[in-house]
Amino acid sequence: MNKRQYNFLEKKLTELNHNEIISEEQCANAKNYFVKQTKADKSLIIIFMSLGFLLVSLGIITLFAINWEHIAKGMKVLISFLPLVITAIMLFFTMKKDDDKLKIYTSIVAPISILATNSLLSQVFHIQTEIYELFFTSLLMFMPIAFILRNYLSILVYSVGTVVYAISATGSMSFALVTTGLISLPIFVYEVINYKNNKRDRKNTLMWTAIICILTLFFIRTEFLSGHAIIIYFYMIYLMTRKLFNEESLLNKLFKLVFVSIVLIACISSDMVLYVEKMTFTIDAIIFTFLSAIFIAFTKVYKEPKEWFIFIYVCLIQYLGILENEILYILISILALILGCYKIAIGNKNCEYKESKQGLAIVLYLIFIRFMNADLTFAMKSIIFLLSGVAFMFAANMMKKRIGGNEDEEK
Amino acid sequence: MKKNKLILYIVAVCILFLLPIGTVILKTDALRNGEEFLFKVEAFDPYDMFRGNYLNINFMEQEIVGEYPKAGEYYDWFYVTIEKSGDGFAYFSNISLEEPKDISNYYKTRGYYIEYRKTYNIDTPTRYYMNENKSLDAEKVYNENMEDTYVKVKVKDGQMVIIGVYVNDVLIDTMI
Repeated sequence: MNKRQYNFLEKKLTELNHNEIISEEQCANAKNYFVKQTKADKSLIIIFMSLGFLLVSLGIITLFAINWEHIAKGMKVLISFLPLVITAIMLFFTMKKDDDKLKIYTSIVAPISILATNSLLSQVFHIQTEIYELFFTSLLMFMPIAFILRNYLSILVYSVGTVVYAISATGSMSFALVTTGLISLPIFVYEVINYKNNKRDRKNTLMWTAIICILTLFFIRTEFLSGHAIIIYFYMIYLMTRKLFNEESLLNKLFKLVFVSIVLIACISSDMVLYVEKMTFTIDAIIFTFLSAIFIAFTKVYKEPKEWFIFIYVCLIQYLGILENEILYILISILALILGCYKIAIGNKNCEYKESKQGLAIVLYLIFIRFMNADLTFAMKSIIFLLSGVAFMFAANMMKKRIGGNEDEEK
Repeated sequence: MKKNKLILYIVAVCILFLLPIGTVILKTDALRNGEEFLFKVEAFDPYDMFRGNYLNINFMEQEIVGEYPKAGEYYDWFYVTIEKSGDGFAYFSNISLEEPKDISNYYKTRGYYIEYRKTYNIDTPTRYYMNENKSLDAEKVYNENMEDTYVKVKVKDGQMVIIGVYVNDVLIDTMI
């Protein structure tokens, strides 16, 4: 329940009390009961802080990257290990304090640090690996951390990496079987540990894990449906992990928001645009469209027209990217950034955290796309990362002060 | 921190550092103690989203003809021996499915066997990471000096580490 809803309820309870429908004692009890549920959404602060820290770190790393060729090889190797050292330190404090906030921080920082170290080392020694091999190595290194943290965010991050690996990897069947088993293992262990006292849920766990293994194998071996593989996989993970969250959970909603909605609609729109442009009516095109319709029906995004507007807007960015119109692409990106920041600010002001999260998803999407943009120099990327990181940290600080102020008011 | 947690932490950190440290040790050993070989290459400039710009190099020497034992699967691992020819450039002289014991100038790689041509096609290194502002110019330099461009590598016990791409004995990074 957010503050606005509580204020509305408080007014109504007072009205009922004035009209002698409920007694004063009943009114006070009801207000006390609901005020406990009105928790300020502190998880958003943690996520903002983590992302800010991460983006600033990426900005610093890219600053190093500009002068990379002038640095001696030994120093390059030492710098490459720095992210891993930070991860080890964070993991130590997380395990020592057993704090949920630290677990969230570590879940976000650790996989990025591992990927950064592996990327840097392969650059220093010109190691010949494809991107999917880089992902696989990083996943294996992250696996024990994901198991130790036993935090839904670390499992989620691990699953995201698994999907990216699964839809990009190729190789022999034996290799595919072994790797699928290995990378599905933490998900299975995590689920069994959580449902060890519940036989029915353990059966579901086995079923879901088997489905994930089969799907991962399928995606490794074929390029068919690869455009929608990511959506199918995420939806499976979402169904599997849904039981772990209550309906009010921030991350449950964030997951649904970001992955199911944006990725779903972005992939569908870009695929459909490509096929319509080609004017083909092959079986592939029909199946893609059919699957898209099924997933729209499953996720029921059509029920909230306001959300549709935002996500179609974001998908326009991809559409324009396909058309390769640079100026329009940049203009729409800037507008989307303004929209995202506005939604974050308005959502925070009105305690409508759903709106803040939508804004966060839009901004993250833009930052991610810019990182992958090959036309930007390292200098530009480092500036974007540093500025975004500082902005996120500033926003987290503002929210913290605001929540602190609200709690003082209530006292 | 409790004893069990500490042990778990130590194991996790060991796994975390094992692979990168192992990689650094193997590659550094090859760089310091490996034998030097030169390979003729052709080059162009693409982009890797995580590791930046690189020069894509194709070794001219990528096949070995002969009746060699076939690997278990169509595309699998094997060991290829490297020798120097009279003109100073290297070539692949032999293929073995077992790791050679008495020599160190061999490279562990993958490839596939083309039955009707009696030829093994070998995977060779394809990436040379460079400063993003220089990689496109490096491609232009290569286009102007195709005949004189080669890559210098160090090979030891299955590891091949690229030292640099050279044009007329000058490192391409320093030419731009």
